Amino acid sequence: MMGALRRKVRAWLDVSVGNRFGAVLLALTLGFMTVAGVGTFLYVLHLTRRIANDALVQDTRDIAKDLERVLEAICDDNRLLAANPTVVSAVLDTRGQETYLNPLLSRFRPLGRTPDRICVTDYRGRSLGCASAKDRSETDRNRLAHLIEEGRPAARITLAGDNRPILDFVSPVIYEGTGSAEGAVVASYDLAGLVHRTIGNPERFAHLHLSGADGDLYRAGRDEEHVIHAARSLEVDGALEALQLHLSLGVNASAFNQPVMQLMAAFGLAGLLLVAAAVWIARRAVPPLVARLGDITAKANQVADGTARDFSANDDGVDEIGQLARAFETMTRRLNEINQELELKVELRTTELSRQQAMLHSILDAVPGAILQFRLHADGSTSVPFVSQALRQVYGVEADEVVEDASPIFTRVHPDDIDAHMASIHESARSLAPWQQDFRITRPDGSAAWLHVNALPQREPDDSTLWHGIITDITDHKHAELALADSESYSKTLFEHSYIPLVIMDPQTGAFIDCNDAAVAIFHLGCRDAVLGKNLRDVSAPTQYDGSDSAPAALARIAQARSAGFADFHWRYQRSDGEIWDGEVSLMRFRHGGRDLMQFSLRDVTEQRRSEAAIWRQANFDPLTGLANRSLCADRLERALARARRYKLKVGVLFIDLDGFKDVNDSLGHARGDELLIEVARRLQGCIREQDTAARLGGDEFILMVQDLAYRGDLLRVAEEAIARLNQPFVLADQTRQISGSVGIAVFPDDGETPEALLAVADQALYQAKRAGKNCVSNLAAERPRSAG
Amino acid sequence: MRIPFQLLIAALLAFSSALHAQSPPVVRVALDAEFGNKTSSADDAIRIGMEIAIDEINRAGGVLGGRPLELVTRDNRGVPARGVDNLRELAAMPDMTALFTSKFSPVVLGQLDAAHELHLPLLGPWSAADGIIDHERKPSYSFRLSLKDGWVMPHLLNEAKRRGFERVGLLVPNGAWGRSNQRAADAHVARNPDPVIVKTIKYEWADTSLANEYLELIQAGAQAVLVVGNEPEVGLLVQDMASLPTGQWRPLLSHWGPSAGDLPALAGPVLSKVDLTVVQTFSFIDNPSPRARQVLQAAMSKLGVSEPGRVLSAVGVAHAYDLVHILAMAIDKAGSTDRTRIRDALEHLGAMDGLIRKYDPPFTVGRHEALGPEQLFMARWRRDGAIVRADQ
Repeated sequence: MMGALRRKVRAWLDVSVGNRFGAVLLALTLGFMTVAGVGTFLYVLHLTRRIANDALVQDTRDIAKDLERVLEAICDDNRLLAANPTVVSAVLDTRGQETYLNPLLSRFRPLGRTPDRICVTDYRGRSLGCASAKDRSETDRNRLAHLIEEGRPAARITLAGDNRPILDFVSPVIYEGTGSAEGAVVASYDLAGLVHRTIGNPERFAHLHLSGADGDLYRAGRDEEHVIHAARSLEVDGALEALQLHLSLGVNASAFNQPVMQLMAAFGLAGLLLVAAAVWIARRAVPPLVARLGDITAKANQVADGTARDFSANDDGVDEIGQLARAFETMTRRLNEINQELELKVELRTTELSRQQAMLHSILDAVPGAILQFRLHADGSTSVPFVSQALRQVYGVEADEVVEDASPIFTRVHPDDIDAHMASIHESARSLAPWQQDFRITRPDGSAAWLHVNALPQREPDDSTLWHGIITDITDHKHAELALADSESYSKTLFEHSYIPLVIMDPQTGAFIDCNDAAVAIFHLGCRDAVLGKNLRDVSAPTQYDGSDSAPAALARIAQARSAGFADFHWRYQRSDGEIWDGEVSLMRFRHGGRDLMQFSLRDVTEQRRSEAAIWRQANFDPLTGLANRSLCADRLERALARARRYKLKVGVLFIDLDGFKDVNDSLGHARGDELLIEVARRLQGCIREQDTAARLGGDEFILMVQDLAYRGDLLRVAEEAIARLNQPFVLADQTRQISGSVGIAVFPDDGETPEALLAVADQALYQAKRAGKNCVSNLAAERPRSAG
Repeated sequence: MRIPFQLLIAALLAFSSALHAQSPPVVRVALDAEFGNKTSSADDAIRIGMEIAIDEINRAGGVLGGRPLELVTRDNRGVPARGVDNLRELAAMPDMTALFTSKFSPVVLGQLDAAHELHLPLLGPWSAADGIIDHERKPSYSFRLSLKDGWVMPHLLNEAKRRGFERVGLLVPNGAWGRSNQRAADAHVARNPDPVIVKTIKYEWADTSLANEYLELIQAGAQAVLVVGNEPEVGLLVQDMASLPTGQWRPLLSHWGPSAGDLPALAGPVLSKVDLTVVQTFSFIDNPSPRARQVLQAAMSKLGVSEPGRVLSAVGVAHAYDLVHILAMAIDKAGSTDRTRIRDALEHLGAMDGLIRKYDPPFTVGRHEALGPEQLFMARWRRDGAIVRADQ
């Protein structure tokens, strides 16, 4: 039978709690209930006991306080009564006090407590008038007399005939006439009655005990086992303090316990019923739920492993499981939608990406140069992770050949350049400075090419160095550069070694910034450094040929070269030792390195110039006297006339012929004659200004040409001056001779407008002068020749 | 302390009697008065009067053939209970002949029972309650040489009438003395319609103000106020009335209670402003009688004062003086200190020339009052504090 029962129970359990969920739930519920029930029961028990205790303490305190209040009220009222003038009168009165005392004493009911007896007594405690609730015998009067004599309110406990404790309140009556206590008001209370009345329903206490200074006063009830106690001393002051009343109350605790037990039993039963109901409900409700959940799980798994694409709920339930199923369906559908959207986006993205990549590659490939990433590994190996297609053109190497190992490109590098090439790579890697270098490679077709690499390095986390840069073919550029360098050096050689002195000058300052050795030589300066920094002023003569200052003249020449591009001129130089030399200067403007510069070449033409000058002198001057000769004179005259025409001036011509020269020449000889002529030339030169000309035509014929003439008269004066000078004796060796001169005048434009005309007129005037007796000046225009007189 | 005190007294008496073994044993007379009372001077006045008379008697040879009279005093503080206890104690003394009583009528009334029980003659020189003498005890041991309420009330009411007051108020203390006066007043008013007592108010001895009571009387229409009270109460009334507007002042006609103390001191300077007349029986002031002057001198010297007016409660002196002489006569007539014999002797004395008047005789079997209503006159306080006849 037991076995059958066990099987039944097991079956029942299987159904109800076949799964872990139910079993755990059941176990937990039962466990919780047991623990909760036992715990609650014990706790409630403890709590009720404590509540009862607290309530009792509270009760005791309240009752004690009430008692205090009552006792103090009685005491106070008693005292007030003793001070009542009527009571005083009664003490002073004899016979008949009762009439007016009784109503007063009957009204004595402090807090509603009527005393057993209240009396007004004389000074010995003998009653003068009383109000009595019940008949009582007289109390101990002796002690009363003592209390009254002390003159202070007092309280005392006495025992009535039946051993009931009586509480007496004694208040002395003070008579103002003597200032002494002459009586008292004594209110007597049955203590037990007071206590009972104050407590209200004393039956609720199992035990009641009041004690005083002298011991127990009142005791009710029994001190039993299940009684809880609370005690309190009455806190009163004044007259009552001496009583030392102490109250103790007890309550039967079992009264509290029973209801608790009953309550707990009821709860326990209710709990068990609830558990049974829960199990029954679970048993009915759980399996279908589990089945439905299982269905959902299976379908979700199908979607997850791909056997099904959609989730079909097939669950119409309105509960949470149905909602779950439908939610799964919606979710799956949504996920599928999202998936499709994503695929579309990915396709578009990929297309775009490919397009951009193609564009990038086409740009890279179009760039003139191979754009690349070059990596130097920590172990020294090299690779080109990325490079544009241009590598093929540049190196003749395919990109994928060097992805792992860059050696193929290094093999192309010119053997002369490979060391420098590698060194520059390592230097750039070390200092992380940009890698810039020109180097040669050998193209696949064997031709040489110049390449320029410009790449920026960065250190990688794996200690390799990665450059990003570009390699360009600079072959043509290089050739040009070299050619330029060549030509430059050719030019340089030319400059350095030319025998023509060449100087480069800064036109702004006139400073010499470069020169060749020939220039050094021509300046007599010893070395090139001595030349550099010198100025044109420093090597020039103070004045130039036309008398102008060299400095402004130089600036003028420089300006000329600047504007015209060149200036050729002669320049008067001076060497450091003061020697003047003439240079033929070819000054040229040129531009170099963004600057405007000047170059001039020099030729020392001092000798040439000197000889030219000599030739010219020879051609234009009389060798003996140094005066201008006929041709120069004619030339000067031409120019003077031109000038006079322009400026509306006159020109005067003085034809002078010496008188008596022949005699001298014959008498003293040609040598002395030459001396005389030289002296005549000198004296004649003294008559004219610098701009005028003195010429010897030949023999003893001279001309003085005076230009810029204003008045004819001025010319006459010149003529007179000349005559006068000529009249001065000449000292020739140790001989003195005297001659004279005859002068003929012609004035432009008065006497002629051409040199020939003027000369003809002057000649004629001279003839006239000679005829007139010589030693005078004749003016054709004048009627009479004028002598020097 | 009482017991040791009694022992002490007994010892002293024994000692003194041992000392005076050869001198004849004293004859005692006691005075139980309110010595403990702060304001009363009647107790001292009675004592002085007694002492003066005792001195005279002893100088003249004493009583009972040469036995000196001796005064024993006790303090009853004005409290009846004490008075009774004192009486019992005094009555137990040997050769105690009589007890002179104090001014407080309640005390004396309270002592009556014990006095009659112990056959102790009560001689009253002051207390005025009718019941002290008018009682049914026979033989009566209480004798009075003083005024009584039964004379005082009619006298005051007549005085009021004489002065033209038709309506008066009556102020009496709660107690036996008050009751006695009230009865006397009512009895007079019953026979005499004029004046009318518009209101009678009882006050308590311990009252600290009588203003309300006074106002109640004048609001009831009193033209004058008859007051029964001792010096504290009348002093209080005077002050209370004086603190009111003068339009509310009324003439006060008082029983002789205030003369039992120093009223001028208690009432203050206002006393001279108010109209207060008091009933008296005797005055030393301007009294031509040589005996009066002699007794006054003796009283002044005993008190140590130089003014006759400073002999307070002088009537007490006079009453006590005459009463002692009457007692001495009775003791001699009785021939022993047997109190019953002395009591009888008091009722059968011959005529006697006293200070106050000629007694012919002082007491009889049917009359224990030595004075009569004709003895009464109205007096007032003079500025110097002396009580003088009101018409002077």
